[in-house]
Amino acid sequence: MNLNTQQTLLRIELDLRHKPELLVACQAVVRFLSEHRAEDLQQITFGLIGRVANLPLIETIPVAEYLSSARGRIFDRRFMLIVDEEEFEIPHEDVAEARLLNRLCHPDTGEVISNFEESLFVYFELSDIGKMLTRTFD
Amino acid sequence: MKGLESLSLKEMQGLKAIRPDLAVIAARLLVSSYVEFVEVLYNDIDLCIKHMENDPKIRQNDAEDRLTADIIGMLAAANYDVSHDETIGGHSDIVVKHQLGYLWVGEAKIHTSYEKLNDGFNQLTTRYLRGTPNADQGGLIIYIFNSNVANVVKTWAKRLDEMRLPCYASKPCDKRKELAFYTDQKHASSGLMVKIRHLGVNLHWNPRV
Repeated sequence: MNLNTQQTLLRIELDLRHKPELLVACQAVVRFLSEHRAEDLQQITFGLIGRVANLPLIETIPVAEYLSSARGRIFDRRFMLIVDEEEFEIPHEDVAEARLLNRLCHPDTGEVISNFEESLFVYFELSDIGKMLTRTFD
Repeated sequence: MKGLESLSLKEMQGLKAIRPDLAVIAARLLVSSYVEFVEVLYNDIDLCIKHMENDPKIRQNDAEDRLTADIIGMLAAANYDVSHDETIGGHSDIVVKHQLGYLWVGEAKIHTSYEKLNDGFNQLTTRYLRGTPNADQGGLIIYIFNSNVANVVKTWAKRLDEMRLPCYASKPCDKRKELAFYTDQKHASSGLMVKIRHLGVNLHWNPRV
């Protein structure tokens, strides 16, 4: 475990000392990151967080929210559109516009995607701080 | 990425009906624009204020900074990067920063006179709030220990109307009704429009029994 990881675990403990279950889950994720290479963690899903923290999918939301918040700063949140098994990363500005107008167009064809909220998924990438927590050598 | 491994926007937006506690957190996680940031922040600030208003008795002798520290503590517990007295154009009371580069600034005053509220409003709009894109909204939080809090807010709104601020407009607040309102005006430095939410906090305590 490198110094960055130890400092991050301490910072999380200070932030979440009044939320013991969230603290344990977030620290489990940080320890997991320290055991893996950044290149193996390109798309971090709620499912992965759930397996690492031993939580049902829906209960991973507070973990992901803290780790991607301005306090956590370990994940960057991303949006992925999955249509006909094709994946498209959608910039957050486009998602904001789609939510406002209730309309999202296909990035390639320009066709309006019906019920786009069902095809738009949230996932996470490591932030610059998050990358510093990962394993750098074997 | 497998869709089954993640949560869709629809699933996250649909949490309100089944898990309102998680819906609040999901709303913060989904923030993707400055407007959404401010909207979600105001929902959270309203919860802080509701908490304070539920127990006015213990706050009767609290100073301005102590009351504001309550709000800052509750926002920090909701994972906001929030600070007091950070040097942004001086010493703002509440500074909230979002990881996407958004900034909101709040000024808080105990209501003792409308001149004091005016001082706070001027500090907020001419000193702390820079009025630049993604940093053009702020709040004036008014702790009111008087009776008839709605009347204080109404009188303050009327005084603002009479000031003839540049490009000024006001509109009511749907959520806090007569205890809050919004104003728009042209920012003197940036020349862009800025929006302020004026929030009356009911801390009156005078039980008859």
